Amino acid sequence: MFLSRMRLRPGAAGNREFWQMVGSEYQAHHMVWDLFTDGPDRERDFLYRVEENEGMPTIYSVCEREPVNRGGMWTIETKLYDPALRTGQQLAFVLRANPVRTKCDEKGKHHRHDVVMEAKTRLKQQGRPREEWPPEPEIVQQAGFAWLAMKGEANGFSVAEGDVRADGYIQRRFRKRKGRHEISISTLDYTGILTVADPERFKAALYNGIGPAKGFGCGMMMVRPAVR
Amino acid sequence: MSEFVQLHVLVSYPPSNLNRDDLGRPKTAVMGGAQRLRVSSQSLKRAWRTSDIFASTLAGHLGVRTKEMGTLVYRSLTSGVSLAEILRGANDAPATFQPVTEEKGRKWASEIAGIFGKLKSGENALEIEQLAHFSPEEIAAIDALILKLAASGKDPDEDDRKLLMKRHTAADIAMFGRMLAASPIYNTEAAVQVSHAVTVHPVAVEDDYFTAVDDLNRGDEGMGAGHLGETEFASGLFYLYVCVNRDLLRENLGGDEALTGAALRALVEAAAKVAPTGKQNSFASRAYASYLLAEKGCQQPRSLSVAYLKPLQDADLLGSAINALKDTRNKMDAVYGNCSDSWCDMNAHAGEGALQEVLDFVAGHHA
Repeated sequence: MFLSRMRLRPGAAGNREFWQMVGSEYQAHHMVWDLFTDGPDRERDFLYRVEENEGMPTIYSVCEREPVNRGGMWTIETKLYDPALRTGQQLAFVLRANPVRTKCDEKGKHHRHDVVMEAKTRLKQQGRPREEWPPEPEIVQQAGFAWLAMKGEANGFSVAEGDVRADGYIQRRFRKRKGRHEISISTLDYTGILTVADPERFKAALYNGIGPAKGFGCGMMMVRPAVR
Repeated sequence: MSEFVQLHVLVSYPPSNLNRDDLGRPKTAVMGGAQRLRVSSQSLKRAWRTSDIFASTLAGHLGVRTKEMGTLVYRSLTSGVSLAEILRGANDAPATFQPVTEEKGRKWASEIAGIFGKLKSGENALEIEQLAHFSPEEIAAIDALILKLAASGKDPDEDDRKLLMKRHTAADIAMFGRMLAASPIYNTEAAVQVSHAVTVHPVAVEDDYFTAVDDLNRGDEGMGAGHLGETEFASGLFYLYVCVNRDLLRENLGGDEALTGAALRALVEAAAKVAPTGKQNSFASRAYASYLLAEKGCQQPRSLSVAYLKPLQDADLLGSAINALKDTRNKMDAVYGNCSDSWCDMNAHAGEGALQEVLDFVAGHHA
């Protein structure tokens, strides 16, 4: 696999084409896809994460193929990505995720709820007055941590509550370029330190992502060695 | 020449992420060629303004900052509950006047809110486009008008619309100013300037993940990433500078000397004790200032941030940060002559001085 960092060329921000591209969340997603897709039938074989650096987007991506700099607006650096992992290794990580739980209703229909909304619904059902609810950041941290700990079990890593920060809860809503269908995605930002439990599985998670909405920049975990 | 009160604060926050950018990463700044963590002045001011210290020391002299005044006035008009009660959040307060119809309530509420700021578009919109800051006097005036309108049933006339006031006793508005885009004549110029708090040491926040891939590929651990733990989870020692134009503050408060003193006390105490709220609940990163230097004088104010232009990297970070601050101050005095008439400090690192003394010094006798 490859890990790429794509930074916008300094002049490109003056380019009207660019601003049309990042005009909306959905278009930003297209912008990233354009770097990878070689045809309309291409299935997603990459993960990405968009960060903003002094007002300019930086895209990180884990990909099977090297990205193609169409239009030449980007400075692209690519490194081979084949981490040597071992059980018990401690890694610092960042992750933007779409933490949802899927539930089946009586009709067998699937519903996705993000874990923060779910926690709030639970509080509501318990009949606790809003004034007595824990502060929002606490709800986010607890619900967010529980989700990540659960994902860790399936993906070969473990996390301790004091070592992970879950915040930056945002509900994103946007429309596809065509059609009235509204897409709604909640994202949470994780930062912290994890312990590798199963190197094989964990590596697969690094390559394939964690949780849903990967096409919209969620699920790519970035790691680096941690020294404590 | 105005008299200035200057504060220099060193405060160390435990693992936390106090102030994040749009994408959820800690805010940073480059100073002296090194990347530092930053807490914006906006975030600090908000934390102070909404602190218990402000609430208790300045009760009755705090404004309300909201976009939703129109909605609140509408609720008052149509429920018969006074605006003051609604702002207090008293849900079950009894009605004190005869409510008006929804139609009239909406129309009048939109007219009243429109005086304080441009309303969002749409027929009878109630929400103001920007946050507007209302002084207690203005809220009382709105309340009086609500009563009058409800009693008479007539639309507000030209006189009724004179709700904005230049003179008020809202200490937070007097300190941090307000901008009313719709009626700039009622703006208040801020008497308190707050710098962004910046760490005295370098902090790496990003990019390392990309660089660290090489280490990971080789299976190297701990190579070139020794600062990692410090980056995300260790503490940051911040320098913060606050400059108060005392004369302007008093003028903003209608010349009320006692209130000016109380406002200064609240400000210094909040600056010493209140941390921004980001991640407070999961990290309990509450922190008191470890060092606080207050200065008074009519000289042109100056920040002492140059003390940290060269990022500190000692083991005794706090000790050397305090020394660097004192040192810079002395050297500036040596070169420029005394940069302040008098000063007072407290040092929680050495256990010297007391906050009470600093508060008395700041609020007390002045030029």
